[in-house]
Amino acid sequence: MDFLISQTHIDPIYLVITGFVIGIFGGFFGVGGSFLAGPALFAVGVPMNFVVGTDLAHIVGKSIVAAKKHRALGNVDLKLGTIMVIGTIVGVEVGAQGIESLKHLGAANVDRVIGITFVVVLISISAFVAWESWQTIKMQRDRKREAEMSGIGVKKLEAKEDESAFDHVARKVHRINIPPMIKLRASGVERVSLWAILLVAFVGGIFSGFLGGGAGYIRMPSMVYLLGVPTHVAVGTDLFEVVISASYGTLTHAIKGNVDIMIALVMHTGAAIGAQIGAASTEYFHGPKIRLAFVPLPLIGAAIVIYGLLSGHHVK
Amino acid sequence: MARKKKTHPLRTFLFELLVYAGLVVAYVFFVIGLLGVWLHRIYQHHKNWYALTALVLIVTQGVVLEFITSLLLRLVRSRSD
Repeated sequence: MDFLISQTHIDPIYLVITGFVIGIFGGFFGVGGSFLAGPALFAVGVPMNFVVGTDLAHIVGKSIVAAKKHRALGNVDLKLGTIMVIGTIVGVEVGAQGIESLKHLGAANVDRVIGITFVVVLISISAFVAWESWQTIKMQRDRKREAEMSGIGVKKLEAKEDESAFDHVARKVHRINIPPMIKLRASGVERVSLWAILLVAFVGGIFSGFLGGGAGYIRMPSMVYLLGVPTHVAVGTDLFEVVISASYGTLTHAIKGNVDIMIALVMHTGAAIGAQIGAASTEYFHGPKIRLAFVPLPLIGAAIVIYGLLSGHHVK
Repeated sequence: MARKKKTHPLRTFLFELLVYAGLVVAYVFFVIGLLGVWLHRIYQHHKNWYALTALVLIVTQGVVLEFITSLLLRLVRSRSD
């Protein structure tokens, strides 16, 4: 099939299948999946400027499907999502300006610096989430074994009842007493400073602006570990936020002529069903298991960047 | 009382996926195929309109496909129950 806008010829079945796979990841983990979609489009000859913009447009459609599904499951905290959008947009601008400043300063090898930073961040996130979720699963198993040995029944957690071996950090963040303090009913957070939420979103935004993509790989774990949001709600709320921030990105990129909406529309037909399946699957997994399954994702992203650095082809 | 025929959930799901695939193929070749030339024209001459149209199209498709896929998955559940 010919795509006139980007002047490319791509098999639509390839786009539908790619969208389907990315849709499952997006629905299950609450990430945009740009680290997979980007290389997949680049591999079939889509020019780099179109890869970034088209990927954002496809993310909008896919995230609407997944966010609506999560909303129906009660996994979206609209109040938290709206506040985070503000912090993220400011962070994205700061991150993007940071790159421009580096270029103006004539910093040598800007791409390499960004690439290496990206790899370090992704591997650190992956290692931390693996360690934490494994500790939590072990803690739950030990508690169950002890309860069985002593003959006391242990309360079985529902899939959405979350706990983490890193809960104490979230409790410390909740104790930061800088007004205004707000309550996040949907997330089960009684009291948290508005500034703590904005800061978490701002840092995620900086990564997004500096390194590209939606930075769901950093925002989703941050919501869980720093704000104490249950994993299911973090996934759904992140998707809600992605809809807004990716829509903004789509508009700005399309005005610059970097979006082939035809490719995005075809890709999205596969992503829509994938996102539904991914979102519905979260119902059957506990928070720590979702987090443990999340571990390979940042590593895939890191491997792609390393390949780009070594081969000289900047995939993302 | 008539005995309710038991349906295998995976088989039902694959059937629904096939129905969805058929709908998608029709959509890609007829609707998107027709839109292509028109979109290319506004892409070349009116970038702001193109940006707005692109966003409206992907959002509309998102909402419509969400409805269709929800319906299909609900059918899968009710048939496999």
